[in-house]
Amino acid sequence: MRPDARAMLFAVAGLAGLAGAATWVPSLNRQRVSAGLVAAAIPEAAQPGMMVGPLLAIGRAPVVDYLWLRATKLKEEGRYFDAYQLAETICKLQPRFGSVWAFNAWNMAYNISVTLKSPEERWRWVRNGFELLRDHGIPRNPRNTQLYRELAWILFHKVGDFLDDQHWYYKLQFALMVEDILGPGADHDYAAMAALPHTWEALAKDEQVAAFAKTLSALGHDCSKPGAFISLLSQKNLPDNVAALMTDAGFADVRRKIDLFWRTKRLRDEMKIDPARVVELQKVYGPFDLRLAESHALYWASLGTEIGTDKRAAYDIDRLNADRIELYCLQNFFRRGRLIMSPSARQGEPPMLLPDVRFADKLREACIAVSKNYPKQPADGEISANFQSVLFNFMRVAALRFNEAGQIEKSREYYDWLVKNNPDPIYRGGYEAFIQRMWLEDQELMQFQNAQARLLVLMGRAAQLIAYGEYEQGASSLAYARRLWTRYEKEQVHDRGRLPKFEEMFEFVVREMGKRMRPETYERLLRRTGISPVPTTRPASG
Amino acid sequence: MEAFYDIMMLAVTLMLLVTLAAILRSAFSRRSGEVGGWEIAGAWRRIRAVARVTLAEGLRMKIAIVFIVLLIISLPLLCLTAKGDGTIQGRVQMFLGYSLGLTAFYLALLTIFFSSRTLAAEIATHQIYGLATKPIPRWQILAGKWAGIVVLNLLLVLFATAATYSGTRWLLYRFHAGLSNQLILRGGLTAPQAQACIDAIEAIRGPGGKGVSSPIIPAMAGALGWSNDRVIELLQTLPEETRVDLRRLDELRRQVLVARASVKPQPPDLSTAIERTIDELRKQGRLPNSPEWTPARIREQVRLQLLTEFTTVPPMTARQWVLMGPPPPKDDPKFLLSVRYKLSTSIYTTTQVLDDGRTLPENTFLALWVVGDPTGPNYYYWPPEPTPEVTRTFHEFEVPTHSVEPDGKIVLTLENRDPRQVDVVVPVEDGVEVLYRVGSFERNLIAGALTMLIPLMFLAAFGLMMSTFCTFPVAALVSLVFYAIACSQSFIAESLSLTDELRPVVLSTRDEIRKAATDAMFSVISLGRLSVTDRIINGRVIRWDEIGELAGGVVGWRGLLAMGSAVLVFRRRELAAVIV
Repeated sequence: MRPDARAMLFAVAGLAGLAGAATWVPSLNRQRVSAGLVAAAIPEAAQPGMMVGPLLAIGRAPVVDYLWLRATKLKEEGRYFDAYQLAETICKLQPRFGSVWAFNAWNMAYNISVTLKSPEERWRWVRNGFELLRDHGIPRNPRNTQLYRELAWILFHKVGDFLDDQHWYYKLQFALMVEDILGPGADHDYAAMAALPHTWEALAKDEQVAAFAKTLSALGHDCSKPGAFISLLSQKNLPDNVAALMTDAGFADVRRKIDLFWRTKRLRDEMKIDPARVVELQKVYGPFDLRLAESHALYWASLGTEIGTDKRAAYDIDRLNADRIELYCLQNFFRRGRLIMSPSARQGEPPMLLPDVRFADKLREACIAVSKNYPKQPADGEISANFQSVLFNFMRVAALRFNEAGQIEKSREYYDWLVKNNPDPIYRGGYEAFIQRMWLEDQELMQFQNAQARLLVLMGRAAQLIAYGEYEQGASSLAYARRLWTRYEKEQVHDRGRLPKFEEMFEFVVREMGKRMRPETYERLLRRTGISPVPTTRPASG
Repeated sequence: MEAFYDIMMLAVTLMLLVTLAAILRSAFSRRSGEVGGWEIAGAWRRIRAVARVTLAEGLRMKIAIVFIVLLIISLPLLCLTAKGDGTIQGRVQMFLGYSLGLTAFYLALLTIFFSSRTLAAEIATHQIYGLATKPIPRWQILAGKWAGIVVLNLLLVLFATAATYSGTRWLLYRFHAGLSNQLILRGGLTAPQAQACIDAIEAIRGPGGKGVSSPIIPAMAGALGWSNDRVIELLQTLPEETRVDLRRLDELRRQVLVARASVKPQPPDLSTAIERTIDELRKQGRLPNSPEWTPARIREQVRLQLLTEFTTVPPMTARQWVLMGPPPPKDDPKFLLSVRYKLSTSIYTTTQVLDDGRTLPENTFLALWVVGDPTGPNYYYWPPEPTPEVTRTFHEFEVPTHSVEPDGKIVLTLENRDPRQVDVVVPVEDGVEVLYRVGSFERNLIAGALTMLIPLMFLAAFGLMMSTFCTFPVAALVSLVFYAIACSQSFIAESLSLTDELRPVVLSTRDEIRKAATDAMFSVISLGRLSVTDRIINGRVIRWDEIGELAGGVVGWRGLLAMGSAVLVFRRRELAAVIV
């Protein structure tokens, strides 16, 4: 055979082989998808950064090494001016390496933040930490449960919990950030938000909206620009013609639609929260308040467990921890899920957190539901061993809290459930003995220091409620404190164990709280409690 | 890893020795070369002509164009993408740092490639015949080429400095535009009102302040004709990050966009005390006599112990330092004087609740600074309220000029008020310093540009020297290795545990050799220790005398040595063999 003919034959054979192999591609792709070997689609917003990796393919390793060295060096020197950008660049150069994202976020939120003094500076780094994951890490790795778990943990633990010295500042700023987007209060129409289109162009197809926007535009205000419409709503001195349009009853629905649209857009763009998902979650977990960091932790933890990479693995530590965070969040909603903002919140007065008993049943239901995803022993009943201690401890405390709040029936229901599901000698003496024991364990009321501390906390809560305008709840809390004080005093045999008079203690608490309040809030508190602005009694320090 | 470094060290030493041998061999070769050629008359004209041709070559050479284009693309890109830590101060610092760093890096590479190529390529392609056959001495050819490379660098440094300055102004402009937008949308101001506020903020000079004592509040109040309280209400309508950014903007003005000099307490001369202590220990028979306790190590240990007395403030006591700063001007609103400090404690402090209910968090200390004579009427204390401060972190406060004595004497007193009974430690190196404004940011940036030029002048000389006897690839490789080693001195020293902090107490023979070799290498291969980037982003002045010192060290003896060697070698170089 001539060399040319042989070459031609080989070329044809090669092409035939290639064509044959190509026919297998669809089936191979299907197998890749079913085996979870396909990288998730990258959202458009995150795509330009993805070019950095391929562009630096050859020199990526030394560049990453250099950036790590630089980041470590600057941290040692206490210089953080480009720590965020360095972390972001390092992560973008290794976009699929989940641990790199998780480490950098944790480093900023925990390590860097605590080296700084002022709450504003600390908050900046806590935010940088969770925003790195939420805004960059998760969009690039939508199936990496570790990132959801890490994000949920930073929100739950660093912002939501009481560990950091500046936790009140974080809570306040987080709540203000959400209020800035959604408006004040806890209740928002997430279903209506979810129904709105994602772009202004789509919204403007509504004839009424278009007509309103055109009229407003003629008056010099372009409501298709972000921030412009919301700004009009908050301005007091609008020109007459604009004010007339903004109060025209005929346009009330349109105004609400535009208002909701811009708020929803910010919720989606800035907080990365999908209102449709909030609606679904609230159906399952109850009406949580998005101003609480725990609500966001719950959102991300649940999303992580839902779309995480390996749902078939019997034991995935990240999924388990994300599930646990969900339960911790519900536990916190029960303990302090009702957030009340001070009228002087913008001046830096921290919010108030009150229990929300509506979440007790939700936690139990969630625990049962999540247990279905984990292997159980016959002795475990319907609760997986992974969550038993969380749930049983919670149920005991909840039974006590319902009892304290006078909801005896609910308290008994919880007790009965515990007796059935959590065999333990603690229940042998019956309901009353159980409550008495829990009471003692919880309060350790017979000790002076604990009794005084407990009373001061209750009085503080009562004073804060009154100062924030929640008079009924404040009065109820104060009455409960008085009952505890009376009971304690009755049980005292020696004078050395006696507490100061109830009124003296309360006045002390009010004056102490006054030091941390804005003058107008303190005045309101004094007025409502009838306490003189000038101290008349001795301090109740014991 | 250690073996790797040893091999690398050996390779570099070998490379240096071979280079030196080649230089010497070529320089003193008697085979061929130039005869005479030391004429001075008309030298300047000829050097200028060669420089002009070299500059033109630099501007059209592909490799130079690549770096120039990279510079032109990178700086605006950096400006657009700078985020820093998310604040305006972080953005500006980050942009300044990366812009200056990248400029220095690109220009160093450009200089290395250009200087290694310009002569070597002409020799390789025989273009040099056109020049060498002219009545122009070879040293003037080299001087002209060097001058051409330096002028090219000067132009590019000026361009990069202008770009850096413009970028910084643009970042501030963008911040102001964002702030103006916020004031209009959230604060309800009209556009002229918002602009008046921005103008007033830009015009602020002198000391800063936090919260209600910020100079931004009266400045805005003046611009709007409002009361301070009304301005505070207005500011509270802005998002928290904008308010924080405003504070950082004020810090940027005082701490970064400025040139500040520093005075530090000088550690006392301990030599007499060290000898006395050692004598006493010897008399008492308490000197260690094991072989690892060499006299030098004993002396160092005693010095550290004595120094502790200077650097430690025991609980409920005070320590005083007297520094000489500049005499405070009476009517200069721009004059700023501040104390910067970073303290640590003898043990890790844990959380403690005080009797008055306040909590001292862990890893903090409680101390009070007094500036000025505490017995006089003009002293100033900081913080106004006892406040726990984080250890091992820099803190800074501004000092009113009246607490500084007219001759510039500053009396600094640190009182340790921490009830946890811990010693407060003031590190000798960077524990405390007094900073004061000596010039503007613009002046510092120009000084930085000149400083940046100095290593480039040396690299040009080095590259030319290599190209007198090597081909372009070899000359470029050696110059690159030289540059890489010079830039990573601290990294190499840390990796080999040769720094004071990391060095083992007792050095083995291998360590000793390694240290001696590294020290020798670092003293030869060096581009100076003045970091332009660090100085500029921290608002620290680059003094003219420092620039002179750097020029003397880097361009002076090292550069002259390189150019001298280049001339000697090139004079003896046989550019063309005469075949009869």
